[in-house]
Amino acid sequence: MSKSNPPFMSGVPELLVLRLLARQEMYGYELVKAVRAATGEEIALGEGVVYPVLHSLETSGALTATRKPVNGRTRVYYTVTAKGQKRLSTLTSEWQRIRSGIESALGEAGHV
Amino acid sequence: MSDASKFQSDLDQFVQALLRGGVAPKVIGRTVEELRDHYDDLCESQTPDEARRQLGSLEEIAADLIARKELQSWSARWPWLMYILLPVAGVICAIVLGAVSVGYSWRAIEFFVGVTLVPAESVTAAVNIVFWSIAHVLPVALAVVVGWHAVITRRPLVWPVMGLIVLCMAGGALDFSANWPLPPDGPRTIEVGFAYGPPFPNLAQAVLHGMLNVSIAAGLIALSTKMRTKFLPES
Repeated sequence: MSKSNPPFMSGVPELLVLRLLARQEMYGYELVKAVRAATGEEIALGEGVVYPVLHSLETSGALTATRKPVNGRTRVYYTVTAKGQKRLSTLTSEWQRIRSGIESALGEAGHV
Repeated sequence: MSDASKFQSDLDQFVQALLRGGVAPKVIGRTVEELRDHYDDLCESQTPDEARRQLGSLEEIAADLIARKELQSWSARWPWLMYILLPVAGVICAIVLGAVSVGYSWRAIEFFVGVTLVPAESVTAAVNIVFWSIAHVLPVALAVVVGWHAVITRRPLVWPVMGLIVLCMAGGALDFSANWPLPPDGPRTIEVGFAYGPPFPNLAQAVLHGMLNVSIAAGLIALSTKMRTKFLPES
């Protein structure tokens, strides 16, 4: 079965990628494993979908990419830039606002 | 077909889909490289079939990349700029540079050698070679570059063909003449311009360019069709 993002998940991969890369630089495969670990495997993505997100963030200046040789292979490591940090804080506050809105809606629904 | 070659074949189709979707070649190259590495990493801990499933659908990844406008190539975002304006600007720059360099060369000859020691015919012939190249060789060379770029990046050929036509018109209509100063203080002139309107003085040039550029366009379309057939599976 193919794994895909419902429209409601829009922006979530970007937020997760920025959040995890803000802690340390990583390459694609490493990042996917980190997403899985950080979300307790609750968010299951086709792993390849991380690359469009990474390239898009790099083009917008939120990430920089560096090639590094690791065990005889060249890996592309991504790091968050200052612009990416700013984008991360914007996305985080947006997400927290949405989450608090949904929680209060669910809370009200629970009292009906 | 082995798992590795099946995956390679899927990646080839993935690349063709991205090129047709206008994704920048640099992004395509990096994505393919990363997906291949990712697949190899997954294969270290599971079977190739599982690795393939875990990686996700290449069609979905391609659709995601194509939908992101910021990852599109310049020729996909601004085809009129890449295939018409830039080549024509190249011809105009070459004309200006040609005129300026001829002017400075004349001054240098006057200063170092002296006007009377240089045969006027030789100077006129040299200037004619410079502008003949700009009028005839450069537009055709640019037409080849424009067309070749469109073919290898799988762009629709409408804009490149329009570019070839404009280049043919620009090159074919270029008019130039140069007069070496006659001693002691005769006039020195370089005249460059585009001659249009009746009576059309450069019709033969324009027809020559048109034929050359149409031949290039036909060759490129044939090449493009051949390449598409080679890379894409029959549906």
